[in-house]
Amino acid sequence: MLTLIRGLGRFSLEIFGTLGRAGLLWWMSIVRRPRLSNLPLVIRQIYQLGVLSVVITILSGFSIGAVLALQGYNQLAQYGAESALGLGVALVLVLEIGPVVSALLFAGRAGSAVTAEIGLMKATEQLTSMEMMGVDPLQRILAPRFWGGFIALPLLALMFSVVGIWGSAVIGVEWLGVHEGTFWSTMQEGVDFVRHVMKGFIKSVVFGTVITWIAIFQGYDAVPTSEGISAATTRTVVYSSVAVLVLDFFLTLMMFDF
Amino acid sequence: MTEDLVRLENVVYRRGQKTIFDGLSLRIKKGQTVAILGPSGSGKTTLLKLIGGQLRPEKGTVLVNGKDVAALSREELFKLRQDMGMLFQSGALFTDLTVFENVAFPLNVHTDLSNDLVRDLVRIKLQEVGLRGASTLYPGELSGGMLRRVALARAMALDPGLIMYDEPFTGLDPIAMGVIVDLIRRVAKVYDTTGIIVSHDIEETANISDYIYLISDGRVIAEGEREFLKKDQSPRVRQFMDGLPDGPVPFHYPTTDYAEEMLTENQKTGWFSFD
Repeated sequence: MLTLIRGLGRFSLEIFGTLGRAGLLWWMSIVRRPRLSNLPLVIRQIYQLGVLSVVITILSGFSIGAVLALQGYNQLAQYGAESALGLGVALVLVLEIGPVVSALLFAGRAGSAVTAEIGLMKATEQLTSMEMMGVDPLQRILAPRFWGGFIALPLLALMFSVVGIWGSAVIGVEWLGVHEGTFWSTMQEGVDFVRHVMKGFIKSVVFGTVITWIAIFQGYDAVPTSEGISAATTRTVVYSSVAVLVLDFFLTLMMFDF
Repeated sequence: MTEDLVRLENVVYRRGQKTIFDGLSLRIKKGQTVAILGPSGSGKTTLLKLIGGQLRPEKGTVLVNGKDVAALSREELFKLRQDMGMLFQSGALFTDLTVFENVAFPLNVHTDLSNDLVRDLVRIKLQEVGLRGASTLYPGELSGGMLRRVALARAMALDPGLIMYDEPFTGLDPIAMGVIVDLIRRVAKVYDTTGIIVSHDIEETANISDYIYLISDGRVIAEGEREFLKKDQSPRVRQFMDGLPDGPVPFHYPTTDYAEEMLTENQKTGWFSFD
Protein backbone atom coordinates (compact mmCIF):
# COMPACT_ATOMS: atom_id res chain seq x y z
CA MET A 1 0.00 0.00 0.00
CA LEU A 2 2.82 2.34 1.00
CA THR A 3 4.61 1.53 -2.26
CA LEU A 4 1.46 2.35 -4.19
CA ILE A 5 1.07 5.71 -2.47
CA ARG A 6 4.74 6.45 -2.95
CA GLY A 7 4.51 5.53 -6.63
CA LEU A 8 1.43 7.70 -7.06
CA GLY A 9 3.17 10.59 -5.36
CA ARG A 10 6.24 10.23 -7.55
CA PHE A 11 4.09 10.02 -10.68
CA SER A 12 2.13 13.15 -9.69
CA LEU A 13 5.33 15.06 -8.94
CA GLU A 14 6.72 14.05 -12.31
CA ILE A 15 3.56 15.15 -14.14
CA PHE A 16 3.36 18.51 -12.36
CA GLY A 17 7.11 19.01 -12.73
CA THR A 18 6.85 18.43 -16.48
CA LEU A 19 3.84 20.72 -16.79
CA GLY A 20 5.67 23.37 -14.77
CA ARG A 21 8.75 23.17 -16.99
CA ALA A 22 6.59 23.26 -20.13
CA GLY A 23 4.72 26.31 -18.80
CA LEU A 24 7.95 28.06 -17.91
CA LEU A 25 9.36 27.34 -21.35
CA TRP A 26 6.19 28.73 -22.89
CA TRP A 27 6.50 31.91 -20.84
CA MET A 28 10.24 32.41 -21.30
CA SER A 29 10.44 31.72 -25.01
CA ILE A 30 7.12 32.72 -26.48
CA VAL A 31 4.96 35.01 -24.40
CA ARG A 32 7.52 37.09 -22.54
CA ARG A 33 9.20 39.07 -25.29
CA PRO A 34 8.34 38.48 -28.92
CA ARG A 35 11.00 40.19 -31.04
CA LEU A 36 10.48 41.69 -34.46
CA SER A 37 14.14 41.09 -35.27
CA ASN A 38 13.36 37.36 -35.28
CA LEU A 39 11.02 37.78 -38.27
CA PRO A 40 13.47 36.31 -40.85
CA LEU A 41 13.90 33.28 -38.58
CA VAL A 42 10.11 32.90 -38.32
CA ILE A 43 9.77 33.09 -42.11
CA ARG A 44 12.42 30.39 -42.44
CA GLN A 45 10.46 28.19 -40.05
CA ILE A 46 7.22 28.80 -41.93
CA TYR A 47 9.08 27.44 -44.95
CA GLN A 48 10.54 24.48 -43.03
CA LEU A 49 7.35 23.52 -41.25
CA GLY A 50 4.70 24.77 -43.64
CA VAL A 51 5.92 24.91 -47.22
CA LEU A 52 7.71 21.57 -46.95
CA SER A 53 4.45 20.02 -45.68
CA VAL A 54 2.43 21.25 -48.67
CA VAL A 55 2.94 18.14 -50.80
CA ILE A 56 1.70 15.64 -48.19
CA THR A 57 -1.16 18.01 -47.33
CA ILE A 58 -2.28 18.23 -50.96
CA LEU A 59 -1.98 14.50 -51.56
CA SER A 60 -3.84 13.64 -48.36
CA GLY A 61 -6.47 16.35 -48.87
CA PHE A 62 -7.22 15.23 -52.39
CA SER A 63 -7.43 11.56 -51.40
CA ILE A 64 -9.71 12.20 -48.45
CA GLY A 65 -11.94 14.52 -50.50
CA ALA A 66 -12.19 11.85 -53.19
CA VAL A 67 -13.04 9.13 -50.66
CA LEU A 68 -15.65 11.34 -49.01
CA ALA A 69 -17.25 11.92 -52.40
CA LEU A 70 -17.36 8.19 -53.15
CA GLN A 71 -18.79 7.22 -49.76
CA GLY A 72 -21.10 10.23 -49.56
CA TYR A 73 -22.49 9.62 -53.03
CA ASN A 74 -23.14 5.96 -52.18
CA GLN A 75 -25.21 6.87 -49.14
CA LEU A 76 -26.96 9.96 -50.51
CA ALA A 77 -27.92 8.27 -53.78
CA GLN A 78 -30.04 5.79 -51.81
CA TYR A 79 -32.32 8.67 -50.82
CA GLY A 80 -31.97 10.56 -54.07
CA ALA A 81 -30.09 13.30 -52.21
CA GLU A 82 -26.83 13.26 -54.17
CA SER A 83 -27.30 16.96 -54.85
CA ALA A 84 -26.30 17.55 -51.20
CA LEU A 85 -22.90 15.93 -51.81
CA GLY A 86 -21.02 19.22 -52.21
CA LEU A 87 -22.48 20.67 -49.04
CA GLY A 88 -21.88 17.54 -46.98
CA VAL A 89 -18.29 17.11 -48.07
CA ALA A 90 -17.48 20.79 -47.60
CA LEU A 91 -18.90 20.90 -44.06
CA VAL A 92 -17.13 17.72 -42.99
CA LEU A 93 -13.85 18.97 -44.42
CA VAL A 94 -13.98 22.54 -43.17
CA LEU A 95 -15.23 21.72 -39.66
CA GLU A 96 -13.55 18.45 -38.81
CA ILE A 97 -11.40 16.55 -41.22
CA GLY A 98 -9.43 19.51 -42.56
CA PRO A 99 -8.20 20.82 -39.19
CA VAL A 100 -7.85 17.39 -37.55
CA VAL A 101 -6.14 15.39 -40.30
CA SER A 102 -3.84 18.24 -41.30
CA ALA A 103 -2.91 18.59 -37.60
CA LEU A 104 -2.13 14.87 -37.37
CA LEU A 105 -0.03 15.07 -40.53
CA PHE A 106 1.68 18.17 -39.19
CA ALA A 107 2.49 16.43 -35.89
CA GLY A 108 4.01 13.50 -37.76
CA ARG A 109 6.05 15.49 -40.24
CA ALA A 110 6.85 18.87 -38.73
CA GLY A 111 6.40 18.23 -34.99
CA SER A 112 8.72 15.25 -34.96
CA ALA A 113 11.29 17.17 -37.03
CA VAL A 114 11.25 20.09 -34.58
CA THR A 115 11.73 17.79 -31.58
CA ALA A 116 14.55 15.86 -33.22
CA GLU A 117 16.29 19.03 -34.38
CA ILE A 118 16.14 20.75 -30.98
CA GLY A 119 17.06 17.51 -29.19
CA LEU A 120 20.10 17.05 -31.42
CA MET A 121 21.12 20.67 -30.96
CA LYS A 122 20.99 20.02 -27.23
CA ALA A 123 22.94 16.77 -27.49
CA THR A 124 25.68 18.37 -29.61
CA GLU A 125 25.97 21.34 -27.22
CA GLN A 126 24.78 23.81 -29.87
CA LEU A 127 22.21 25.28 -27.48
CA THR A 128 24.80 25.54 -24.71
CA SER A 129 27.31 27.20 -27.03
CA MET A 130 24.63 29.69 -28.03
CA GLU A 131 23.95 30.46 -24.37
CA MET A 132 27.66 30.88 -23.74
CA MET A 133 27.79 33.41 -26.57
CA GLY A 134 25.20 35.46 -24.74
CA VAL A 135 22.42 34.48 -27.15
CA ASP A 136 19.21 33.17 -25.63
CA PRO A 137 18.29 29.92 -27.44
CA LEU A 138 14.73 30.28 -26.17
CA GLN A 139 14.39 33.46 -28.23
CA ARG A 140 16.59 32.43 -31.12
CA ILE A 141 15.72 28.76 -31.66
CA LEU A 142 12.50 27.94 -29.85
CA ALA A 143 10.36 31.04 -30.38
CA PRO A 144 10.73 31.16 -34.21
CA ARG A 145 9.79 27.49 -34.43
CA PHE A 146 6.73 28.10 -32.32
CA TRP A 147 5.54 31.04 -34.40
CA GLY A 148 6.38 29.17 -37.60
CA GLY A 149 4.14 26.26 -36.58
CA PHE A 150 1.47 28.55 -35.20
CA ILE A 151 1.18 30.32 -38.57
CA ALA A 152 1.79 27.33 -40.85
CA LEU A 153 -0.76 24.83 -39.56
CA PRO A 154 -3.94 26.94 -40.02
CA LEU A 155 -2.83 27.71 -43.59
CA LEU A 156 -2.15 24.03 -44.24
CA ALA A 157 -5.56 23.13 -42.82
CA LEU A 158 -7.26 25.62 -45.17
CA MET A 159 -5.28 24.21 -48.06
CA PHE A 160 -6.27 20.70 -47.03
CA SER A 161 -9.97 21.61 -47.05
CA VAL A 162 -9.78 23.42 -50.39
CA VAL A 163 -7.91 20.56 -52.08
CA GLY A 164 -10.30 18.07 -50.43
CA ILE A 165 -13.31 19.91 -51.87
CA TRP A 166 -11.62 19.93 -55.26
CA GLY A 167 -10.96 16.17 -54.96
CA SER A 168 -14.59 15.54 -54.11
CA ALA A 169 -15.69 17.68 -57.08
CA VAL A 170 -13.44 15.72 -59.42
CA ILE A 171 -14.97 12.44 -58.22
CA GLY A 172 -18.52 13.63 -57.60
CA VAL A 173 -19.05 15.87 -60.61
CA GLU A 174 -16.64 14.64 -63.24
CA TRP A 175 -16.89 10.93 -62.54
CA LEU A 176 -20.12 10.13 -60.71
CA GLY A 177 -22.12 12.72 -62.62
CA VAL A 178 -23.53 14.93 -59.86
CA HIS A 179 -24.84 18.12 -61.44
CA GLU A 180 -22.07 20.71 -61.28
CA GLY A 181 -24.31 23.69 -60.57
CA THR A 182 -26.08 21.87 -57.73
CA PHE A 183 -22.80 20.62 -56.29
CA TRP A 184 -21.36 24.13 -55.95
CA SER A 185 -24.55 26.06 -55.22
CA THR A 186 -25.60 23.87 -52.26
CA MET A 187 -22.10 24.34 -50.89
CA GLN A 188 -22.27 28.10 -51.38
CA GLU A 189 -25.70 28.19 -49.78
CA GLY A 190 -24.93 26.00 -46.76
CA VAL A 191 -21.37 26.84 -45.79
CA ASP A 192 -21.17 30.00 -43.72
CA PHE A 193 -17.88 31.82 -43.31
CA VAL A 194 -18.31 32.70 -39.63
CA ARG A 195 -20.25 29.65 -38.45
CA HIS A 196 -18.19 27.07 -40.30
CA VAL A 197 -14.96 28.26 -41.90
CA MET A 198 -13.89 30.42 -38.96
CA LYS A 199 -14.66 27.71 -36.43
CA GLY A 200 -12.56 25.23 -38.36
CA PHE A 201 -9.83 27.84 -38.59
CA ILE A 202 -9.92 28.45 -34.81
CA LYS A 203 -9.53 24.73 -34.27
CA SER A 204 -6.43 24.60 -36.44
CA VAL A 205 -4.96 27.63 -34.64
CA VAL A 206 -5.39 25.80 -31.31
CA PHE A 207 -3.95 22.60 -32.76
CA GLY A 208 -0.98 24.50 -34.21
CA THR A 209 -0.28 26.08 -30.83
CA VAL A 210 -0.48 22.82 -28.93
CA ILE A 211 1.53 20.71 -31.40
CA THR A 212 4.42 23.16 -31.70
CA TRP A 213 4.46 23.72 -27.94
CA ILE A 214 4.66 19.97 -27.33
CA ALA A 215 7.31 19.58 -30.05
CA ILE A 216 9.64 22.32 -28.83
CA PHE A 217 9.23 21.31 -25.19
CA GLN A 218 9.94 17.65 -25.89
CA GLY A 219 13.05 18.61 -27.88
CA TYR A 220 14.32 21.02 -25.23
CA ASP A 221 13.54 18.63 -22.38
CA ALA A 222 14.92 15.55 -24.14
CA VAL A 223 17.64 13.48 -22.53
CA PRO A 224 20.61 14.34 -24.79
CA THR A 225 21.33 10.80 -25.98
CA SER A 226 20.19 8.91 -29.07
CA GLU A 227 17.63 6.97 -26.98
CA GLY A 228 16.46 10.17 -25.33
CA ILE A 229 15.90 11.95 -28.63
CA SER A 230 14.16 8.93 -30.12
CA ALA A 231 11.82 8.74 -27.11
CA ALA A 232 11.15 12.49 -27.23
CA THR A 233 10.27 12.34 -30.93
CA THR A 234 7.87 9.48 -30.30
CA ARG A 235 6.30 11.39 -27.39
CA THR A 236 5.78 14.43 -29.60
CA VAL A 237 3.81 12.46 -32.18
CA VAL A 238 1.81 10.49 -29.60
CA TYR A 239 1.01 13.41 -27.26
CA SER A 240 0.23 15.75 -30.16
CA SER A 241 -2.09 13.27 -31.87
CA VAL A 242 -3.97 12.48 -28.67
CA ALA A 243 -4.14 16.17 -27.74
CA VAL A 244 -5.56 17.05 -31.17
CA LEU A 245 -8.30 14.41 -30.96
CA VAL A 246 -9.27 15.24 -27.37
CA LEU A 247 -9.17 18.98 -27.95
CA ASP A 248 -11.27 18.57 -31.08
CA PHE A 249 -14.04 17.10 -28.97
CA PHE A 250 -13.96 19.94 -26.44
CA LEU A 251 -13.66 22.66 -29.07
CA THR A 252 -16.61 21.22 -30.97
CA LEU A 253 -18.57 21.10 -27.73
CA MET A 254 -17.72 24.70 -26.92
CA MET A 255 -18.22 26.24 -30.35
CA PHE A 256 -21.51 24.63 -31.30
CA ASP A 257 -24.87 24.54 -29.53
CA PHE A 258 -26.02 21.06 -28.62
CA MET B 1 49.15 43.62 -8.34
CA THR B 2 47.17 42.16 -11.22
CA GLU B 3 43.44 42.11 -10.76
CA ASP B 4 41.53 38.81 -10.52
CA LEU B 5 39.26 38.19 -13.50
CA VAL B 6 37.74 35.05 -12.04
CA ARG B 7 37.50 34.15 -8.39
CA LEU B 8 35.82 31.17 -6.75
CA GLU B 9 35.39 31.27 -3.01
CA ASN B 10 34.45 28.17 -1.01
CA VAL B 11 32.23 26.84 -3.76
CA VAL B 12 30.08 23.86 -2.87
CA TYR B 13 28.25 22.12 -5.70
CA ARG B 14 26.36 18.84 -5.60
CA ARG B 15 24.78 16.82 -8.36
CA GLY B 16 22.15 14.64 -6.74
CA GLN B 17 23.85 12.86 -3.85
CA LYS B 18 27.34 13.34 -5.29
CA THR B 19 29.44 16.23 -4.07
CA ILE B 20 31.36 17.66 -7.01
CA PHE B 21 32.97 20.62 -5.21
CA ASP B 22 33.39 20.84 -1.50
CA GLY B 23 34.74 24.26 -0.67
CA LEU B 24 36.66 24.94 -3.89
CA SER B 25 38.55 28.22 -4.05
CA LEU B 26 40.73 29.54 -6.84
CA ARG B 27 41.75 32.80 -8.49
CA ILE B 28 42.53 33.57 -12.09
CA LYS B 29 44.34 36.79 -12.82
CA LYS B 30 43.70 38.96 -15.86
CA GLY B 31 45.89 38.05 -18.82
CA GLN B 32 46.94 34.70 -17.36
CA THR B 33 46.50 31.32 -19.00
CA VAL B 34 45.49 28.97 -16.23
CA ALA B 35 45.21 25.20 -16.46
CA ILE B 36 42.68 23.28 -14.44
CA LEU B 37 43.91 19.71 -14.36
CA GLY B 38 42.33 16.74 -12.73
CA PRO B 39 41.25 13.17 -13.32
CA SER B 40 38.10 12.40 -15.35
CA GLY B 41 35.00 13.05 -13.30
CA SER B 42 36.71 15.56 -11.02
CA GLY B 43 34.32 18.30 -12.13
CA LYS B 44 36.53 20.28 -14.51
CA THR B 45 33.78 20.96 -17.04
CA THR B 46 31.37 21.68 -14.18
CA LEU B 47 33.82 24.34 -13.06
CA LEU B 48 33.60 26.05 -16.44
CA LYS B 49 29.82 25.87 -16.29
CA LEU B 50 29.89 27.55 -12.88
CA ILE B 51 32.12 30.33 -14.21
CA GLY B 52 29.87 30.74 -17.26
CA GLY B 53 26.76 30.87 -15.06
CA GLN B 54 25.17 27.77 -16.55
CA LEU B 55 25.19 26.24 -13.09
CA ARG B 56 24.78 27.91 -9.74
CA PRO B 57 26.76 26.88 -6.68
CA GLU B 58 24.94 25.61 -3.63
CA LYS B 59 27.26 27.63 -1.42
CA GLY B 60 30.08 30.06 -2.01
CA THR B 61 30.54 32.65 -4.71
CA VAL B 62 31.76 32.72 -8.29
CA LEU B 63 33.00 36.17 -9.25
CA VAL B 64 33.74 37.11 -12.85
CA ASN B 65 35.00 40.64 -13.38
CA GLY B 66 33.90 41.34 -9.82
CA LYS B 67 30.31 40.26 -10.49
CA ASP B 68 28.67 37.45 -8.58
CA VAL B 69 27.57 35.24 -11.48
CA ALA B 70 24.85 33.45 -9.50
CA ALA B 71 23.22 36.75 -8.52
CA LEU B 72 22.88 38.05 -12.08
CA SER B 73 19.57 38.12 -13.92
CA ARG B 74 19.28 36.18 -17.18
CA GLU B 75 19.79 39.37 -19.21
CA GLU B 76 22.79 40.47 -17.13
CA LEU B 77 24.29 37.02 -17.48
CA PHE B 78 23.93 37.05 -21.26
CA LYS B 79 25.55 40.49 -21.28
CA LEU B 80 28.48 39.20 -19.22
CA ARG B 81 28.90 36.20 -21.52
CA GLN B 82 29.48 38.48 -24.48
CA ASP B 83 32.92 39.04 -22.98
CA MET B 84 33.52 35.29 -22.67
CA GLY B 85 34.36 32.79 -25.33
CA MET B 86 34.16 29.07 -24.92
CA LEU B 87 35.76 26.33 -26.93
CA PHE B 88 33.73 23.16 -26.51
CA GLN B 89 35.21 19.71 -26.70
CA SER B 90 32.89 18.85 -29.59
CA GLY B 91 33.28 22.25 -31.22
CA ALA B 92 29.49 22.73 -30.87
CA LEU B 93 29.29 24.50 -34.21
CA PHE B 94 25.86 25.16 -35.69
CA THR B 95 25.46 22.37 -38.18
CA ASP B 96 23.05 24.25 -40.44
CA LEU B 97 25.51 27.11 -40.94
CA THR B 98 28.72 27.20 -42.95
CA VAL B 99 32.10 27.84 -41.35
CA PHE B 100 31.85 31.49 -42.36
CA GLU B 101 28.32 31.86 -40.96
CA ASN B 102 29.33 30.17 -37.72
CA VAL B 103 32.10 32.66 -37.10
CA ALA B 104 29.92 35.56 -38.21
CA PHE B 105 27.09 34.49 -35.90
CA PRO B 106 28.16 36.31 -32.69
CA LEU B 107 29.09 39.40 -34.70
CA ASN B 108 25.72 39.48 -36.44
CA VAL B 109 23.80 38.97 -33.22
CA HIS B 110 25.70 41.29 -30.91
CA THR B 111 26.95 44.11 -33.12
CA ASP B 112 25.54 46.59 -35.62
CA LEU B 113 28.53 46.28 -37.91
CA SER B 114 27.97 46.48 -41.65
CA ASN B 115 28.00 43.27 -43.66
CA ASP B 116 31.29 44.31 -45.28
CA LEU B 117 32.97 44.79 -41.92
CA VAL B 118 31.60 41.51 -40.55
CA ARG B 119 32.89 39.74 -43.65
CA ASP B 120 36.37 41.24 -43.17
CA LEU B 121 36.46 40.37 -39.47
CA VAL B 122 35.42 36.78 -40.16
CA ARG B 123 38.13 36.51 -42.82
CA ILE B 124 40.70 37.77 -40.31
CA LYS B 125 39.63 35.24 -37.68
CA LEU B 126 39.57 32.37 -40.17
CA GLN B 127 42.97 33.38 -41.52
CA GLU B 128 44.34 33.23 -37.98
CA VAL B 129 43.18 29.65 -37.55
CA GLY B 130 44.27 28.78 -41.09
CA LEU B 131 40.81 27.97 -42.40
CA ARG B 132 39.92 30.93 -44.61
CA GLY B 133 39.85 28.46 -47.49
CA ALA B 134 37.20 26.36 -45.73
CA SER B 135 34.73 29.18 -45.20
CA THR B 136 32.04 27.70 -47.44
CA LEU B 137 32.17 24.23 -45.90
CA TYR B 138 29.66 22.92 -43.39
CA PRO B 139 30.75 21.48 -40.01
CA GLY B 140 29.86 17.98 -41.22
CA GLU B 141 32.61 18.28 -43.85
CA LEU B 142 35.38 19.12 -41.35
CA SER B 143 37.79 16.93 -39.39
CA GLY B 144 37.90 17.03 -35.57
CA GLY B 145 40.90 19.35 -35.51
CA MET B 146 39.36 21.71 -38.09
CA LEU B 147 36.10 21.78 -36.12
CA ARG B 148 37.97 22.95 -33.06
CA ARG B 149 39.86 25.59 -35.02
CA VAL B 150 36.61 27.00 -36.40
CA ALA B 151 35.14 26.90 -32.90
CA LEU B 152 38.15 28.83 -31.66
CA ALA B 153 37.69 31.42 -34.41
CA ARG B 154 34.05 31.75 -33.35
CA ALA B 155 35.01 32.01 -29.67
CA MET B 156 37.41 34.84 -30.60
CA ALA B 157 34.95 36.63 -32.88
CA LEU B 158 34.00 39.30 -30.36
CA ASP B 159 37.55 39.55 -28.95
CA PRO B 160 36.44 38.45 -25.47
CA GLY B 161 38.48 39.09 -22.36
CA LEU B 162 38.17 35.47 -21.26
CA ILE B 163 38.27 32.28 -23.28
CA MET B 164 37.50 28.94 -21.66
CA TYR B 165 38.81 25.79 -23.31
CA ASP B 166 37.00 22.57 -22.45
CA GLU B 167 39.32 19.61 -23.14
CA PRO B 168 40.79 21.25 -26.25
CA PHE B 169 43.22 18.42 -27.03
CA THR B 170 41.03 15.36 -26.56
CA GLY B 171 40.81 13.05 -29.55
CA LEU B 172 43.20 15.00 -31.77
CA ASP B 173 46.09 13.61 -33.78
CA PRO B 174 49.56 15.01 -32.92
CA ILE B 175 49.53 17.53 -35.79
CA ALA B 176 46.05 18.87 -34.95
CA MET B 177 47.03 18.97 -31.28
CA GLY B 178 50.15 20.96 -32.09
CA VAL B 179 48.05 23.41 -34.13
CA ILE B 180 45.58 23.94 -31.27
CA VAL B 181 48.38 24.33 -28.70
CA ASP B 182 50.01 26.93 -30.91
CA LEU B 183 46.72 28.75 -31.50
CA ILE B 184 45.87 28.94 -27.80
CA ARG B 185 49.32 30.28 -27.07
CA ARG B 186 49.02 32.88 -29.84
CA VAL B 187 45.52 33.99 -28.85
CA ALA B 188 46.72 34.65 -25.30
CA LYS B 189 49.76 36.57 -26.50
CA VAL B 190 48.28 38.60 -29.35
CA TYR B 191 44.93 39.49 -27.79
CA ASP B 192 46.11 39.53 -24.15
CA THR B 193 43.21 37.22 -23.39
CA THR B 194 42.74 35.41 -20.10
CA GLY B 195 42.48 31.69 -20.72
CA ILE B 196 41.19 28.81 -18.65
CA ILE B 197 42.15 25.42 -20.00
CA VAL B 198 40.40 22.42 -18.56
CA SER B 199 42.18 19.24 -19.49
CA HIS B 200 43.73 15.99 -18.47
CA ASP B 201 46.51 16.24 -21.05
CA ILE B 202 49.23 17.30 -18.64
CA GLU B 203 52.15 17.93 -20.93
CA GLU B 204 50.43 20.04 -23.57
CA THR B 205 48.38 22.01 -21.09
CA ALA B 206 51.23 22.67 -18.71
CA ASN B 207 53.40 23.91 -21.58
CA ILE B 208 51.10 26.79 -22.42
CA SER B 209 49.90 27.67 -18.92
CA ASP B 210 51.17 30.33 -16.58
CA TYR B 211 49.62 28.68 -13.56
CA ILE B 212 48.16 25.27 -12.79
CA TYR B 213 45.44 24.13 -10.43
CA LEU B 214 45.12 20.44 -9.77
CA ILE B 215 41.67 19.45 -8.54
CA SER B 216 40.48 16.18 -7.11
CA ASP B 217 37.73 15.14 -4.70
CA GLY B 218 36.05 18.52 -5.05
CA ARG B 219 39.02 20.59 -3.90
CA VAL B 220 42.24 22.11 -5.14
CA ILE B 221 44.88 19.59 -4.08
CA ALA B 222 47.83 21.47 -5.52
CA GLU B 223 48.55 24.71 -7.31
CA GLY B 224 51.52 26.49 -8.71
CA GLU B 225 53.67 26.84 -11.76
CA ARG B 226 54.64 23.84 -13.85
CA GLU B 227 58.00 23.18 -12.25
CA PHE B 228 56.53 23.48 -8.77
CA LEU B 229 53.98 20.74 -9.50
CA LYS B 230 56.67 18.49 -10.95
CA LYS B 231 58.43 18.55 -7.61
CA ASP B 232 55.34 18.05 -5.45
CA GLN B 233 55.65 14.65 -3.78
CA SER B 234 52.13 14.20 -2.37
CA PRO B 235 50.63 10.87 -3.55
CA ARG B 236 47.61 12.44 -5.22
CA VAL B 237 49.70 14.88 -7.24
CA ARG B 238 52.22 12.22 -8.16
CA GLN B 239 49.54 9.75 -9.27
CA PHE B 240 48.07 12.28 -11.67
CA MET B 241 51.28 13.89 -12.90
CA ASP B 242 52.96 10.50 -13.46
CA GLY B 243 49.84 8.79 -14.83
CA LEU B 244 49.79 5.93 -12.31
CA PRO B 245 46.80 3.59 -12.79
CA ASP B 246 46.24 2.97 -9.08
CA GLY B 247 46.73 5.09 -6.01
CA PRO B 248 44.62 7.57 -4.05
CA VAL B 249 42.28 7.53 -7.06
CA PRO B 250 41.53 3.78 -7.09
CA PHE B 251 41.51 1.69 -10.24
CA HIS B 252 38.36 -0.16 -9.11
CA TYR B 253 34.95 1.39 -8.80
CA PRO B 254 33.91 1.03 -5.12
CA THR B 255 32.34 -2.38 -4.56
CA THR B 256 32.35 -5.37 -2.21
CA ASP B 257 35.36 -7.58 -1.59
CA TYR B 258 36.29 -9.48 -4.76
CA ALA B 259 37.10 -12.85 -3.14
CA GLU B 260 34.03 -12.71 -0.92
CA GLU B 261 31.78 -11.97 -3.89
CA MET B 262 33.26 -14.77 -6.00
CA LEU B 263 32.69 -17.28 -3.20
CA THR B 264 29.16 -16.22 -2.37
CA GLU B 265 26.73 -18.88 -3.58
CA ASN B 266 23.60 -16.80 -4.01
CA GLN B 267 24.70 -14.05 -6.28
CA LYS B 268 22.45 -11.02 -5.99
CA THR B 269 23.61 -9.81 -9.34
CA GLY B 270 21.99 -12.77 -11.08
CA TRP B 271 24.75 -12.94 -13.67
CA PHE B 272 25.78 -16.46 -12.73
CA SER B 273 25.10 -19.13 -10.18
CA PHE B 274 27.03 -22.08 -8.73
CA ASP B 275 23.89 -24.22 -8.46
